[in-house]
Amino acid sequence: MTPILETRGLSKSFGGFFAAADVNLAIEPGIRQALIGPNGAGKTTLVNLLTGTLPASAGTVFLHGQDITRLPPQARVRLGLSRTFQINQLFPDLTPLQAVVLAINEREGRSHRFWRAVDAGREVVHEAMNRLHEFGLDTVARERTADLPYGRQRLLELVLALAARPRVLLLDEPAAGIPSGESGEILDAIGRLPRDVTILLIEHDMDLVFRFAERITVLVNGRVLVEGAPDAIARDPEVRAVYLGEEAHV
Amino acid sequence: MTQPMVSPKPWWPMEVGFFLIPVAAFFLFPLHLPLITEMMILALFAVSLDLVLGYAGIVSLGHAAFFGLGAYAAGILAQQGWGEPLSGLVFAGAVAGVVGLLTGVLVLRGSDLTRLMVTLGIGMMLFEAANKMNWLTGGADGLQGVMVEPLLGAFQFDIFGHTAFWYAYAGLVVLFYVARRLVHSPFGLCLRGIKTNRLRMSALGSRVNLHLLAVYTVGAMMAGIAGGLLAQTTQFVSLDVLSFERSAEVLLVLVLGGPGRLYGGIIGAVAFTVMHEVLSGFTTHYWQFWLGLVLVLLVLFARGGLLGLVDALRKRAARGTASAAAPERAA
Ligand SMILES: Nc1ncnc2c1ncn2[C@@H]1O[C@H](COP(=O)(O)OP(=O)(O)OP(=O)(O)O)[C@@H](O)[C@H]1O
Ligand SMILES: [Mg+2]
Repeated sequence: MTPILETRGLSKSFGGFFAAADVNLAIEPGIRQALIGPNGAGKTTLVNLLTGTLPASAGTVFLHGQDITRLPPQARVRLGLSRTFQINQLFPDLTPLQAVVLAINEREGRSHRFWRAVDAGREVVHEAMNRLHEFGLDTVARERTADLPYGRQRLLELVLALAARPRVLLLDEPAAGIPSGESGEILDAIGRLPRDVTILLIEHDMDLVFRFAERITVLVNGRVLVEGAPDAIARDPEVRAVYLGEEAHV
Repeated sequence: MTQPMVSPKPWWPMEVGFFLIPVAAFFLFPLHLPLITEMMILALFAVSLDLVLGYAGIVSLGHAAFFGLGAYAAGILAQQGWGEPLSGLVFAGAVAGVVGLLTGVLVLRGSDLTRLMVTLGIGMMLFEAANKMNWLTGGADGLQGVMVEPLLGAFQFDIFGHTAFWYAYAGLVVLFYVARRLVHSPFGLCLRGIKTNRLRMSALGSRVNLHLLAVYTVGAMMAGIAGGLLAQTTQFVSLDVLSFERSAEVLLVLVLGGPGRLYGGIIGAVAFTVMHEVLSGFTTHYWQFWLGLVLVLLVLFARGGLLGLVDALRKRAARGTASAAAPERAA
């Protein structure tokens, strides 16, 4: 199968320090893939390169076989590449409903409309409420985002990324900062997403990773150490030495 | 499901009431009509800045560039023999809008500091250009011989300022209505999104720069029309329409009233004008000292200007009643 998202020789240097070095990825459509690696391995940097948040120093990114290396982030989103952030990127003063309506308007190319009222589009409000309902956020839809508990904000981050109707979803530690009891719920919700969404998940909790992933990429010092099926990764001595061993004392 | 999202349901009766105040003022203060007219123009100017600063978060120290351009555009047009006021206003808005569009590209880039310097710089350049182009603008003497024809071919601009008053009033009401629709539209929500989290907006697929450019242009057009109104109602344009002081003044007016609420510009213009009149009555030269003091206190202790202050007080009152009601609910 041709990969839906692919990189060739993707690199990022911060003043000589390579946070991503010669990364070659090929992500199959529909797959649930995990990207793991110790702190500072370059996982977030890689996501930033894929989405265009950071310009690449070298290498190429392909989406649906199209070279998107030079496209700005918003153009990549419109091609179906969406993400969440490791650190929440929300609108503190807006309500979740407003934020999701905003996301839907952007997806539908309606955000330049300046004469009709924003809540005149009933189908938009309807869709937004449905999306919030799916993640149990409909009850807080009209509260200020900043007033929501952290866990709820984390879910909103996910809802916003999904509202773009992505084909490929990059999730940068979606359960970060959430008590481990609840993080399973978030991962389950992600696991229930339809198969036409390809998912690349960054996550530190190995139990969650092995429960979720069909394929795992291990990143160390900006380089892909190994990539393979979960059981192969679990057995890999190098991975155990470099990564899983360290995980024990995190 | 139909509950509004952008803001609590706009309270039409109160808003209509608010816009009837100038009508009352017309009859109550017949001798102060020119002052009130100028106040309404200042209010419109401040509302135009509110779109740019309050809603889109673009800081500017040179918004007078567009006000001044509009004033000169309308003034020169009338001086050259095209005295029909409404088309003159359209021309004023168009000239300012085009320059807003062109300079907006520069303003998009960079941090707040860059934006302050770029807007300041452009304002300075326009001021000096107008100063030097004596033959066109009249330079430091001001633009003489502005002849404005009767409004709608029927209402002569009279020495009591009746026509000027209603003309400026209509301009303010119409453009305020436009601004109001804009901020409550998908575009307005998008601007608020960009202002609070640009990174997230681009991650949602938003063409952030295009939207910022659009609102900057609209703000420039509106400021241009405000300038045009001043030129036509006073039949004169002086160089200070382009001055840094005017840019600073409109910023002050908006911050005084409360940015990001649309009415802040109007409230600020009223407060500013009243303070000016009252304080300069007491202390002729030192009124700016008191203005400065009020500004400092307001910015330090009531973020969100006068309207922010009202909001905070209302919230406190609501909390008071809520806690009073709480025991009942518990019982
Ligand atoms: N803008 C930047 N400038 C300089 N160095 C950076 C920058 N961003 C990241 N780095 C460095 O690049 C390396 C990789 O960082 P990155 O955030 O991608 O790691 P990560 O794998 O996401 O780590 P974590 O698991 O802690 O989130 C780190 O050493 C970091 O200090
Ligand atoms: Mg990271």
